[in-house]
Amino acid sequence: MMTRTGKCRTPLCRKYRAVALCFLLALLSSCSQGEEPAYVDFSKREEIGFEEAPKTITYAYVPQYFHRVSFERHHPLIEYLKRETGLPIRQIFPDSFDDYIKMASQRKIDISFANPFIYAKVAKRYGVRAFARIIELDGRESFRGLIISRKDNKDIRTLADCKGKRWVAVDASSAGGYLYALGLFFEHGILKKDFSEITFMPGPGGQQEKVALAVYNGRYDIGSVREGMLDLVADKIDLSQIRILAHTPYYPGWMYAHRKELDPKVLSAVKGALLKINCTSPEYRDICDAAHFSGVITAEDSDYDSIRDLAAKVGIDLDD
Amino acid sequence: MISLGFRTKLFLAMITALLFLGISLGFIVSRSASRMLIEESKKRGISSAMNIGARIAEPLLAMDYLRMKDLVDEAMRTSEDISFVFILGRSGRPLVHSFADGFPVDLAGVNEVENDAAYRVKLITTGKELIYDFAVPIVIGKERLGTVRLGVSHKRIGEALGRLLWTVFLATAISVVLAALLGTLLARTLTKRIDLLQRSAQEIVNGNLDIQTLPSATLSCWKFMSCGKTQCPAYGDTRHRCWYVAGTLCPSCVEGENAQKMKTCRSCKVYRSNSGDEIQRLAEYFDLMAMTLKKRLEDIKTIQDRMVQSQKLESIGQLAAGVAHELNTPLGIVLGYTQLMLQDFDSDSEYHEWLVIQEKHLRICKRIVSDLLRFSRTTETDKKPLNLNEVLDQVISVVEHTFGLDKIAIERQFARELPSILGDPEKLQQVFLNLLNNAHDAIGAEGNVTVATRHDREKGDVVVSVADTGHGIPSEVLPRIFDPFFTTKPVGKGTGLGLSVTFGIVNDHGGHIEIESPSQPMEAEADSDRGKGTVFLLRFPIYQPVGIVSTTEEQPKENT
Repeated sequence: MMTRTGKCRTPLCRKYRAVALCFLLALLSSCSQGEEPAYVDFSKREEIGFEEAPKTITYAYVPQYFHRVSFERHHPLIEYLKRETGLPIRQIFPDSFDDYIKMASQRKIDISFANPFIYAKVAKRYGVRAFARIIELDGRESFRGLIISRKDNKDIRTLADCKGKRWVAVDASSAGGYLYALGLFFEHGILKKDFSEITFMPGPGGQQEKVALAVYNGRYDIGSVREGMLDLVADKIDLSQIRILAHTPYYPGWMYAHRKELDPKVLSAVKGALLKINCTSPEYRDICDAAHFSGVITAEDSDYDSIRDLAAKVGIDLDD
Repeated sequence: MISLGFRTKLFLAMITALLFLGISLGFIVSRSASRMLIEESKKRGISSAMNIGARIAEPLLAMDYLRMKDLVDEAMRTSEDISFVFILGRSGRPLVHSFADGFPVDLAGVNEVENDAAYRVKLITTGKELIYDFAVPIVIGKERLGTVRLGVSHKRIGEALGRLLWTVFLATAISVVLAALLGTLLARTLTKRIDLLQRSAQEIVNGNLDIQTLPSATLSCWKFMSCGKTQCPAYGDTRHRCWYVAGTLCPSCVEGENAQKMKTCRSCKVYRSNSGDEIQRLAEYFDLMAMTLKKRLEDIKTIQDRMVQSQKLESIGQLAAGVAHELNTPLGIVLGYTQLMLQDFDSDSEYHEWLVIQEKHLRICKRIVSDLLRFSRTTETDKKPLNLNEVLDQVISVVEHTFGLDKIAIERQFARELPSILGDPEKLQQVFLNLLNNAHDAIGAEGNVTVATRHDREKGDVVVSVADTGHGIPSEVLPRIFDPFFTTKPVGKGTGLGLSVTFGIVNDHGGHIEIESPSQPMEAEADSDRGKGTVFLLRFPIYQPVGIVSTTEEQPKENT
C-alpha cells in the first residue's frame, strides 16, 4: 500500500488512487459554472420622460384588418413615399372605424387610406378630400361585398331566408362589410328591422376576420364582408363550410384622402408619388403586392356620390 | 497499525461506498437537475417573451400604452419567477415596464438582440441575485418595431435546486443509516458464523472432533421425505446433511463417489430446502471434514492397536518359542523316563500312582509347549488351495454330536460358491475347533451356534463367522482375549492359549480376526438373537494362482 514517503507501489493502492481521482474529477467537473453573469446596476433608475412627438406626416389605414396586416400591407408603400417625397411620413393605427373618425376630427391624420363609406362621412363632417384611388387586384376600379353563411345552415339558402336572422357586420362605417350588404338587402325588401339582431365586430382591428370567424363558429347566421377578404382567413377556418349567399353590386373602391388643411406641397408630392406607381414595373412590384392593389389613379370627391346616394337610400345620415 | 476486524471492514466499506455514492449522486443529480431546471426556465422565459412579442405588436403599432402595460402586468402575474418585463421601442427607448420605482437605465442596453434572431438569453446579476434576461425582437415582415425584454429570476431555480439537493442528501443520509443498521446485522450474522467456524477449528486443534458447526436442518430428510428406513445412516443424524452421508438408502440416492452423489442430490427437494449459502456450505464441509477425520483417526487407532497387539504377541511368541523349544526335549526325556518307571512299579503301588500323576502333568506341560510352538508358528505348515466350507464341514461333523448332547444346535450358512483360500487344513481345523469349543463353553447348554461363510467382493476376502448365543465377552476383557495364558475359564479348564494359537494361525494365513460382542446378528440371523452372544469374524484372502488375475466382479454370485 502507501509507503511512508506517500508513494503508491502496490497495484491495489494504485487502483484505489485512480478511483479516488476519477471521483474528484467527476465532482470538480460537476461543480464548474457555465456562464459568467453581466453586472447591471439596478439602483440607477429613472422615470421614462416626456417624448416630444416627432413632426411627421401621418398616414392612417382605416382598420379593417389587424394592425399587423395593415402594417405589412402599407409599410413598403410608406417607405416608398418617404423616399420619393423626402417627407417624414409615419403610419399610425386607429383601433377602430370610430377611432379613425375621431382622429380625423382631431386633424391627426394627414393622409388616409379609407373605404368609400367612411370617406363619405369624414368628407362631409371634416372636409377630408379624396385625391387618388386604387385599382383592385382584379383590375376593377370598384369592389363589392359578400353575404356569407354556414353551408350546413339549411334555413338560409337565399337572401329572403335572411329575414329574422342574426347578422354580423364589420362595422357601422364599413363599406364592403356593411353598407353594400345593407343596400342589397334593401333592394330585396329586407330592412334593418327585419333582422333579429345586427352586430358589429369590436376592435381593435381585425373586424373583417372576426366576422368570418363568427359565422364559421355559428355564433351568427349571416355575415357581411368585403370581397377577397376570405383569403385572409383561409388558414384559420375551413372555407368549404362557408356559403356565399350573395354578392353586392360594385361600388367605387378605396381611396387616398387628405385633411383639408394639409399643405398643398405635401399633397402634391404625395399624390405625385402615388400616381407614379406602376404595378407592372418590377420597381413597384413589392409595393403593389403588399398593398393588394394593381395601381393608383386620380380620384375626385364626386366619384363617391353613388355611396352618398346608397347611404341616403338605406336611411343612413352621414353626420351620425 | 491497528488491524481492523472483518465486521468493521465490512461496515466501513458499506458506509464509504454509500457516502461516495450519495455525494457523487448528489452532485451529478444536482448538476443535471440544475441544467434541466435552467433549460426549462429558459424555455419558459423564451416562450413567455415570444408570447408577449406576438401580442404586443398590435398595441405597439397603435401606440396603445394602456394595452401594452396591461400585457406587461399580465405577464408579471403569470409567474413569481419573472423579475421584470419591459418593451423597448424602435429607438431602444423603454415604452412600458414593470418596475415600480423607475426604470434601471443600464438594463436596456445589456442584452441586445439582432433583427433576424428569434431571441437572445443573457445571464445578468444585480449584485444580489442572478437573472436570466430574455430579449425577443418584435418584427413584422422585415421591420423591427421594438424588443420585448423579460427577466426570470435564478433565485427560484436555486431554491428548487437546493430543495432537490437537500432531498438527495437526506435520502443519502437515511440510506447510510439504514445501510449501517443492515450492515451491522449482516456483519454480525456473518461474523457470528465465521466465529463459530473459528471455534470449531479451535476445537479440532484441541482434539475434539465431535463438533457441530452447522445448525440443525429445519426439516430433516426422513421427516421431509416421510422415510421410515431407520437403518439408513442419515436417519436420525441431525449433525450432518444427508447429501454428505455415505450409504444413504434414499431411492433417489446414487452410491459411489461423492461428486456423483451430489449430482443427483442437487435436484432433490431436501437439498433445495436445506442447502444454504457459501458459509453454510463451508460449515457443512467443516463438519464433514471433522467426521471424516474422526473416522480416519479411529481407523488408524484400530490399526495401531492391532499392530501393537501383533508385535506383543510376536514378542511373546518368540520368547515362548525359545522357552518351549528348550523345554520340549527335557520334557520329552522326563516323560519317557516317567513312562519307563511306570512299568517298573505295580499298578497298585503308591509309586505307580505318583508316577501316573507325574505323567499326567508332564503331558499337560508337553501340550502347553506344543501349543506355544504352534502359536509361535515354529511348526511346519503345509498350505494348499482349499475350500473353507469343506474344512468347516469336517470340524462341525466331529463336534456336532457332542454339542447335541448339551442341546446346542450348529447351523450352517455356507456360501454356495466360495472362492478357495491358501491354507493348512489341519491348522485351520484347529482354529475352527477352538472357536466352536469356545462357543460351547460360552453357551453351556441349550443354544445355537451359527457358522456362516461368505465372499466379501468389496474387500476380496472370504469371511467366516462363528456366532453363538452365549453370555458374550465383557468389553473390558475384549482387548486381552488373544493374549497368551489369558483365560476366563476356571483353573485347570483352559490353558489360555486357544485364542492365541487361533490368532497366530489366522495371522499366518494372511487373515485377521474381528470380534463383536455382544454380537450383532449377521444378515441372516433372527431378530430374537439380537444383542446376545459373540461373533468371531475371520477374514482370509482369496487364493489367486500365479498368472491369473481375478476381479471381484468376475466372481459368481453366492447365496448366503
